[in-house]
Amino acid sequence: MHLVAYAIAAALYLAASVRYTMRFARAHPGATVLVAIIVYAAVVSHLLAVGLYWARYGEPPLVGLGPSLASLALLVGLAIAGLARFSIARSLGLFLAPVATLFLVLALIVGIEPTGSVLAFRGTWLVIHISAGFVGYAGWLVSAAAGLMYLLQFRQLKHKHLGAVFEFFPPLETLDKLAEWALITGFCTMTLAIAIGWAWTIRFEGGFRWSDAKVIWGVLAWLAMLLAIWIRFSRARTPRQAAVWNVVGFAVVFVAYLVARMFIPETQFFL
Amino acid sequence: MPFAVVGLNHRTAPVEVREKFAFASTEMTDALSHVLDGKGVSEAALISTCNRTEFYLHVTDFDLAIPGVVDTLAAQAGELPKPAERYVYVQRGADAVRHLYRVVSGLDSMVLGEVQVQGQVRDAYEIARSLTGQRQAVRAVFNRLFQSALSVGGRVRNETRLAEGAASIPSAAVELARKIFGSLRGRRGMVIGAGDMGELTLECLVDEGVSSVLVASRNMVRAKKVAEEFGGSAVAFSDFWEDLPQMDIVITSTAAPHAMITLEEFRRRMPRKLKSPLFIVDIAIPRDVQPEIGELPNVFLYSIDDLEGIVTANHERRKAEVPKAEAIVEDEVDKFWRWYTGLQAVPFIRRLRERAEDMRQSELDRALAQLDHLSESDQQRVERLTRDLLQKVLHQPTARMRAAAEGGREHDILEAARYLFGIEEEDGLGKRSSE
Repeated sequence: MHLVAYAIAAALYLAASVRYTMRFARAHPGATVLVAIIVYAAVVSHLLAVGLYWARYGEPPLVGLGPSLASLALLVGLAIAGLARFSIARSLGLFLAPVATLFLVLALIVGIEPTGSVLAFRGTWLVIHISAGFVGYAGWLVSAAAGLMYLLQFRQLKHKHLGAVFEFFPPLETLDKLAEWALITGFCTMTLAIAIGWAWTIRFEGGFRWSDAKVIWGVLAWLAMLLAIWIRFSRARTPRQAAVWNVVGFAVVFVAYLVARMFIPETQFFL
Repeated sequence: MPFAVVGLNHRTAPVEVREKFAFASTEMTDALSHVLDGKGVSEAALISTCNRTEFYLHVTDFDLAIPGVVDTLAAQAGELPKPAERYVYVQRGADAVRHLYRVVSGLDSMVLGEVQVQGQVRDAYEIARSLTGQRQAVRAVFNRLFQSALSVGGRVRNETRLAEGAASIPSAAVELARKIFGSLRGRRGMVIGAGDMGELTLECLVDEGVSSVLVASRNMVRAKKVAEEFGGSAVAFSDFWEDLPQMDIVITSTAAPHAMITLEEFRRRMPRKLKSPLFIVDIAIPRDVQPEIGELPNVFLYSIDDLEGIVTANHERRKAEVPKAEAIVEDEVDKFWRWYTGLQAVPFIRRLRERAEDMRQSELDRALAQLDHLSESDQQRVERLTRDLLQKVLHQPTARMRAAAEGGREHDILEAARYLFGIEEEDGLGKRSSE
């Protein structure tokens, strides 16, 4: 039953993506009621799916590639829903809605089921640890999307080619503030996730598990975010440079994930 | 339809004539009262803006109403280069309704698609509505007409892109500033050289929330006057470099024969890297700012040609939306016409219901007199039964009559209904229908 709800959510994210793309093609960011309704419906269906999964398996969908991707998609969906109706930055959905669709479709393809493996680290702390990590990655993603939009809008304004991007995208200042807010939120929750994981391994395993791919990748993402924050708040840097690092840093972390997945055993990944 | 619009606009009269015909808001109620006192007018509203002065009328007699309104306009204008009739146009019936819808949509505006006219029509409607009593200017028909007009304006702006994009150089500057800074509230602006266009652009930016305005000009008297107008301060022309690094928006409009803000000087005076954007609007000819400055990081430099290019592109885009907007107007004129013709059936339906109710009441009284053994609650049941029965019998014919009238068949159907129900010309409906 939860798979049906996930499939409906994926279809609705896809519909929202199409709608955002159509609006972008017409360079018309105006009346957003329909797209907002689609996004809200997608999130409601997604939350229902999570509830059904939890009720069926007795745990939230956080462990295993399928459940993790589905939960990450939910966080992205919540970000789109938060921006969809009232925010001046609602056009961010142009980038985020396809990402939510992709994550959820991939999750459905690999299967949204528990892995069946018994984890050493369990219980509430695990839920907080993984959820905080996911919020961190979602924040990083939103920040990168806002950064990319900043760079495109900047280019249009600088070169005076005022096309669809100029009309549809939010102002530079709005994008910069949104990227900053998402990055800081993501960094704080990622720090919490790493701190919990670190405390657990110190307490029960006597040291940090540097040989574990997800640990290395998580720390890499955390360092990339730290660097992005340093660049953003460094006096010598401009908002454009901060946006460049948001995009480049996220891309580096994402590519590192793809490379790691190709060469490192499946068991070392939660995502 | 007994509607008319009598007035003049930017197409029929130059500004020096239009301003003579214009009514101040304080004069509008008197003007409306005067028109309503004349013969042949049952409802009226007056729109008076810098681009148009128009009386909208619901008339009982065109021949009596229109000359009176033209006289009112002529009296307001006083002495004119040509007779008032040369500037004034009259549109009647559906054309008058269409004209109002086009006005409120911005299709008839000097700047195609302008949005202020929506508020001006709303104000005109409110002023007309404020007249009550014997000189009531707005009744059921004008209420419907103006409410529908305002919703047409909303529909055109929501469903088309007629009002999108800046339509003038100052508004293009504001649009760009908004895309760079988001809200302009609290931003700092400077005008270098206080030309008319610079002042106009500054006014638009101040309206959007730009505060802390500085005016630098070689003419300090002029600089102080402009600064005072916008609650800012004047600085000597030679000192503008001192304040430039603190500015978000700079407008240059001097008459200097060469660029005053050169790349070399800019590099020497400004921070190496601007943390926040600097938006420079150079509307001087020849240009005040060396174009190479626009290549520097975080500097957005727009010349008058760039802004004109934006305005032209927006105008072309607005023009392309006209057919869509006109289609909406036609659709709404048709809806209003159907509603209005549907009204023709109302007096007849009212008369029919009154007659049926009289019959029901008298028959009920007669029956109850013979059924005096019934309890009070049973009598009420019988009363309710007759009322419900009557409602059900009359529902279909009245609904069909209304629909037929809305569909333009009011004459045949109502004639037949009159004959069948024996309700002749008592309501004066025939006279109105044949008008």
